[in-house]
Amino acid sequence: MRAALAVWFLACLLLVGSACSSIDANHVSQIAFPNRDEFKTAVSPFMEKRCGALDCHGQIGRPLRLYSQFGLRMKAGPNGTRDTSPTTDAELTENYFAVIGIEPEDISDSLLSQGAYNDFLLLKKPLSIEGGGVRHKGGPVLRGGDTGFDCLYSWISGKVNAANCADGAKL
Amino acid sequence: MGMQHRTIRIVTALCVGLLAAFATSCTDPVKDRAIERLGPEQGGVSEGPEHRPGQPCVLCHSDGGPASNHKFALAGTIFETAKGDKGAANVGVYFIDSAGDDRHIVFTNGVGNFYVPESDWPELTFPLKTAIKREGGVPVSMQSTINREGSCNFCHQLPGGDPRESIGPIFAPGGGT
Repeated sequence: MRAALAVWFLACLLLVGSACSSIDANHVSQIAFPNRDEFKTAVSPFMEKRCGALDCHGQIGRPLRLYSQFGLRMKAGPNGTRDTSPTTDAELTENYFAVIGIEPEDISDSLLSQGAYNDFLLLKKPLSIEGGGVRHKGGPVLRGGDTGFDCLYSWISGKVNAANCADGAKL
Repeated sequence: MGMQHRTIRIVTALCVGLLAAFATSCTDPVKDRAIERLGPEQGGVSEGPEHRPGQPCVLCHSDGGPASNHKFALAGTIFETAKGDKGAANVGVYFIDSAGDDRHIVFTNGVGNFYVPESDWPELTFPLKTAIKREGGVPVSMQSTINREGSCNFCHQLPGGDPRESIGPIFAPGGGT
């Protein structure tokens, strides 16, 4: 009985050991990111209005943290007051990194395939589950045919539709 | 056999007792601490529609809160000025939810507080758009949507909070500076 147990234990150890492969320290992943300037001028203003409120992604503790003049600010204004100036370039840059940093490889694949690949969180989170999305704590906030959705999709596909971004930002 | 049955009954009773104790001890420590930070009633005003202006109402007026017997869907305070020191009475607060057809209008009371009981809007669907309007004035719309927070004062905190995370008190135009 003991011998059988020992053999079984060794077999398990071997199985676990063989599952651990080494990491290639020299491997470099090649990724492409959608245009930063287009994000700053077209996409961020849309996301600031529709996603970046203080009760949503405009909070320090939330994933996909977004800064904006309407929500979370990076710095306080003069004398510790609220900074009411337009969203700063530093904030826009942080927003860009927050968005591309969610699933960088997927966003890269989408850009390189000009939008043919679209199975990733940035495009699925805003949609309803019935509409092809995934669970989102804030519920469905966009629909597939919305100008706002097209704003995100067109930017990631490499040809941003600035007019749709502007329309999507309207409340 | 009788002994066995008695043992099973005792074990069952113990399990039920433990489960009941476990269930009642489940609270939300984050919410509890946030409520604790609000402190006691202020200025001699006891619990009621005019208490705690400027505080995040739905924190307590929701499941698990000390005022869960009066649950609010939405609530907040409107002040005369951005200083947040004097409530603005009789200001209309307009809400429209993303379902589109359901609109709600409430008016602020003497201290500027307003609330929509949860029972008045059970089908509320976030995000919401909102605007305020003083009697005889022009409506002023909020520049972003309300996405999931029923307490307006959660974002519109009184002066003294972290200005990076608060947009400041809601105030009705025409109340001075």
